[in-house]
Amino acid sequence: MDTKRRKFGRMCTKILIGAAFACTAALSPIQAISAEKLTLWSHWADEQNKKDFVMEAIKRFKDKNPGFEVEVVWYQKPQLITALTTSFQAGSGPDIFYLEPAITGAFPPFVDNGFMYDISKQVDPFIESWAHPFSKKGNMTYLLPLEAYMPVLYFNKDVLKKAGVNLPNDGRIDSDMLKEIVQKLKASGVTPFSAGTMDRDWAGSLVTESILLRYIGKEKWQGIPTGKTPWTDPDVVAGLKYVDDLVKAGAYPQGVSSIKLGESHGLFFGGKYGMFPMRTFFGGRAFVPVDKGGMAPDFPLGIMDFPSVKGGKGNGLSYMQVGGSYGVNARSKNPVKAAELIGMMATPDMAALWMGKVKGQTGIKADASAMNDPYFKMLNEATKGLTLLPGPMELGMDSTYRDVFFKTSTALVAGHINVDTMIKQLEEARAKLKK
Amino acid sequence: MKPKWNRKRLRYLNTAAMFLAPALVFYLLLIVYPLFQSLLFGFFKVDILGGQASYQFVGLENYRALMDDSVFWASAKNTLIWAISSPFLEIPIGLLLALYLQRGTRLTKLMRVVWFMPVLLPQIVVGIIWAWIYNSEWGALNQILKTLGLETWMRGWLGHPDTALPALIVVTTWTWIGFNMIILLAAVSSIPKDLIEAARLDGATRLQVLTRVIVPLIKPVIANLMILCFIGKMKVFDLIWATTQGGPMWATETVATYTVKRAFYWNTFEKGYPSAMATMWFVIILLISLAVTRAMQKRVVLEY
Repeated sequence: MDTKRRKFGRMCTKILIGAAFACTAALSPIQAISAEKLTLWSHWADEQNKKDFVMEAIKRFKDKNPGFEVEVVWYQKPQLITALTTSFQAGSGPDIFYLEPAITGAFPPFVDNGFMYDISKQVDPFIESWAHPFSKKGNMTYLLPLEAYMPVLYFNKDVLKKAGVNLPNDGRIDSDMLKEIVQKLKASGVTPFSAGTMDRDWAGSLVTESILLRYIGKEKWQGIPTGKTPWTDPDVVAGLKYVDDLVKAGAYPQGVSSIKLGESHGLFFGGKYGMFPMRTFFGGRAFVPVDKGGMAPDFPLGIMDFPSVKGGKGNGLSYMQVGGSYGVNARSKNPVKAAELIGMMATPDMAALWMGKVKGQTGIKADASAMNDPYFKMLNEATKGLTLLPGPMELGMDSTYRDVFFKTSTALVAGHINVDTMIKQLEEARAKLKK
Repeated sequence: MKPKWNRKRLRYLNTAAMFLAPALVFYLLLIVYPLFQSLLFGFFKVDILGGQASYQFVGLENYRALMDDSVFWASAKNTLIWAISSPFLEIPIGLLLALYLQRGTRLTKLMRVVWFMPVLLPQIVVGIIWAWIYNSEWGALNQILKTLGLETWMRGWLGHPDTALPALIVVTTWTWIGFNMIILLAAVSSIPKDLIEAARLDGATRLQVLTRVIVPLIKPVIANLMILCFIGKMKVFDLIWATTQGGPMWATETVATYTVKRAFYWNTFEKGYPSAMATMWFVIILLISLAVTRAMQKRVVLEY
């Protein structure tokens, strides 16, 4: 009987091994990338203008490389981050992929771990010098800084006019004037700011970090992510208290933390809100047809800079941020071709196409003609003379510290906590940072 | 007595093994292997990069850090509140609905479908629907409150730390009462009618029949549902991901959402700490489940 038992055992082992092979074969991806095919994974699944731009670059690439296939997979950002992280951990990944400096945890590990291919030959001559900190490490260029943006205050001219707000001729306001605008809008029955923080953790900190920059200046502002600048610094406290004053004056919608970012755009376009503190990627959502969530063509849009502060140490400073960018996987079987495709996006006429189509800024040098667009003229007027730092403030923050910063900033503008509580929590997080 | 290894038995076992092997391989590959790997990773700093992992043994350091992690404990508290409160909401409501259906009215068939339908919806869809209902600006709930003249009650239900967690507990209750209802309906229907009629003849009121006859007789089913509900809520993830993503101020953060954030959204390539987190939570769920099961089983002995 022992022989039969051994026979049975061997049979079971064979079945298990066979099944394991079958399962492994069934589960093993997908990564047998054809030599004549490039894969591109990107965010912007629901942003048609940006998709059109990318598809135009692919068309140009395919025209130059007949027979080459490009497979594009569009994701929403959180799903893309997960897909990229897991695939790179497994040693695979697409040839070309979307990445942005602010993606939590993904940057700089993607660079430091040798996942990025040097695309300097294809894109370096076309990148604006201010975008270099976002796209280069030493002599290596690992990202095409396609999308760029800065924080501004969009406003509805008609709503402000009805509330009795008279802006100065140059459109520049100071902190007292902003308070006054908020009070007048509130008194006229309008919610002063449209805002939504539910699905974007950074959205609650947008006003706070711009106001802080004006109060505390470059050195202290850049010292916050590293923990060098304490939250108890008198200038920092003054800036936070100013934001709290705006909150107490009713600047934000009551349910700000249950409104999504996309919804906050829609609320502003609906004409019932006075102002919209937002980064300039606003254009990507605003300049699409109304039935796709865009702004009406005759919407009375105005743009102004964040207020200056009397005695502030950072008046005249703002920040520019690089957002959606593309890089090439160092493990790609066709890195040169992948870099060539990215290079197709980097020409001045493509940059002008980006600006014209997406109505957003870019880190690529664009044809001067792009600046003739009325929207960009208005934007340039509002931000003229500003010195732009690489930003935002949270760039480079430790993940835990950043989480506390985002959560407490959101809670502050939602009126859930006061400045003292915010400072206490941030100081606790900063103390852990120093350890 | 040892089983005999005759040809017939061997053939039977071979056939059984052939049928079991595929499922077993999946189970070993996708459940057992990751489980043991997580247990192991909890003692290391693990960087998985480019298909290769680097391990640095850190002993209990990840667990020590976990003790100091206020967000982990806040998420553990939220998860426990959810897991403990849900059985006491879902099962009683499910029982009441089951009793209604058992009475057999004209609407029984329709109501059975209507009440069960939320169970069939993906949690992501449920999340989207309820995010609309709870929306502070145009949500149905606030509109109803406004119509009723209760403007002071209007708020961003998912946006306030005090209301976000209860609001989501309401959503899971709405989703799962249909499942509990169907199981309890089967249990209630299996009770011999004689017992209920006898109780009635003895002068028992409806409430007494429910509490002293029906509930004791279906206690084993209730016990199993409670355990299932408890374990399910200890792992709750998808609804939160679709709605609040743990906010505001960690008010709806659960251990599952926090673990995923730490594993994939923070220090992206380090897997030791999130593994320790998952392991600790696995042990806590296991111990509580064993304790609850044991306590329930002791009390549940019935004959009729």
